[in-house]
Amino acid sequence: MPRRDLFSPLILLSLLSVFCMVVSITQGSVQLSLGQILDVFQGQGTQLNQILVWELRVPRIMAAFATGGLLAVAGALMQILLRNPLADPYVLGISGGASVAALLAILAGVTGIVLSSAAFFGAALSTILVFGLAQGDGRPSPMRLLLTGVVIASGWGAFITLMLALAPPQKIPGMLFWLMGDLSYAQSPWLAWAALIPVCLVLIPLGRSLNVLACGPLQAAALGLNVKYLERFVFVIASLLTAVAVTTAGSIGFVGLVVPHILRLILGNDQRLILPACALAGGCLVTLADTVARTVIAPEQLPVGVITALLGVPTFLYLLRRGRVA
Amino acid sequence: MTLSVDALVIDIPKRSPEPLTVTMNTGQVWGVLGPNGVGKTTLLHTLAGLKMPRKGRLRLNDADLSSIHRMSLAQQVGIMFQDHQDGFPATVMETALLGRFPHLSPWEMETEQDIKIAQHSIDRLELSSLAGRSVTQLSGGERQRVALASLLTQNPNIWLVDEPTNHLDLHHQVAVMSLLQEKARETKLVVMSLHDVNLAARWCSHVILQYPDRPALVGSAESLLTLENLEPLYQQKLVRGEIEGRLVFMPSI
Repeated sequence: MPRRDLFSPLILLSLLSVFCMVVSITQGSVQLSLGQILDVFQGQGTQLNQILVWELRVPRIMAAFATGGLLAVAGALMQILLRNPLADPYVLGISGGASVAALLAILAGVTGIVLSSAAFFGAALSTILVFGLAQGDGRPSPMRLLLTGVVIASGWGAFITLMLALAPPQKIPGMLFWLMGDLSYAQSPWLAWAALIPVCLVLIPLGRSLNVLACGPLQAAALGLNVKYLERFVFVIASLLTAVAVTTAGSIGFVGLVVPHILRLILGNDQRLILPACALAGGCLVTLADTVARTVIAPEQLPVGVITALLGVPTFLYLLRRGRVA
Repeated sequence: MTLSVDALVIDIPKRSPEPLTVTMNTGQVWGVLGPNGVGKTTLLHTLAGLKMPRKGRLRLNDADLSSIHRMSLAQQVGIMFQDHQDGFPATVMETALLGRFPHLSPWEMETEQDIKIAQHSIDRLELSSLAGRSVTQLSGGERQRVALASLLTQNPNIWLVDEPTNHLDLHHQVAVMSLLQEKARETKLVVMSLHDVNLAARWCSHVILQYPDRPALVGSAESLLTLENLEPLYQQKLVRGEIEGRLVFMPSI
């Protein structure tokens, strides 16, 4: 926390983000050179390249980046809230609720905004369910909240399996892609950005309070923090971020769990640094994963969730063995 | 500064503790003694304003404790807990710096001055060589001293300390108790729960003896630390002696 430069890691991550985005723009069914992209950005280049960059690749990359950022920040917040390194939108069943609602919508044959709204509604419903049930008499303990989330998540899991078993065969590929995360339908990245940027701006001044909250509610209260108020706020924000992410790109697992951990292992645990760093690193991970997903066996596409896991698992295990480097 | 409680009944589930009335002033060192489960920790948490009492009033000077804003209360009253939670690994320095939290507005960054204060606390508790280490790698006694370093950094007027000598070796027991006594001499109020009667006899000016079945005894350590009071307190036969002019109690086995 002290004497550590908060800015240089963020500048480094910002540069990395730009790099990931540029690499991602160059890659695809048609490879573009850096020169061609610069031409397009200056309003030149061929008609085809213009369409390729502005209508296909840029919106998708923006969506991928924002989704990754949202999921990573949501995961980091839930870990602080529950004081448990295992918490993330997945484990708590929030993504599960969104998936069930979205699959129902797919089965009903709706697409576009209705499908997105269904996912958002499912995430919100699941959140209220988990926290309502964990409440019991008085304050929910973190452990109780986590267990409730895990149980609800497996309940949603069973629902999903049931729907897949009963669904007409022609709908199954679409459903599976949604379940594993799919950015090819993410036409409007702007909702995700509209959620990500203000939340990051709000969270940075709250970083020190979140550091104290991570020490436990009693210690935080003893140091003068209004714990109840902050916990509710964090909970609402984290749920909202998850709902927006799931609405944008389907349910991409793993980002919310692993990105905050990787960053904590490298950068320590100052939330003023970790939260914005999560937004950037989560964005990088999903952007890269989506680039791989749409190029590795092009023109076929892989689910992006598979790639995030394949990239993230070995990185995480490696860093875990090395311990905190700072 | 005065911390006073009037007919205070602490809230322990499924028990009905006796009401407690006591007035504590800065410059004093209070020891809270009693058997396991009698509510020593609950009393300290109640005094810190972290737990609502079942009945009675708590006052800091003339103000009702519950009417004071959390943040300004944290500038006046600090507490060290018996259990130290480490959800996520933090370094010794980061943990010590937590004590500055009530003194800064939420969006301020710690300045060099804050770091200097935290460093001083770390040095005072003989933790200098561990400053950069993660608290999860420390021993129980070292972890205990880190918690005290946080409290020293917070530097409140009223120190509530739950079993300060837990896990500490003899040297550090003495170091920590003299730190607390020094704080009282700097006109702070120190209230600590203790298991060791002899530490109370040596370091406390006043004691609260919490009995499970009758009203607490409150007063000067000298007058209350007697066999007649302590044997029923612990339900244990004791013997007393004098070593180098100091009163010592031992269980009689």
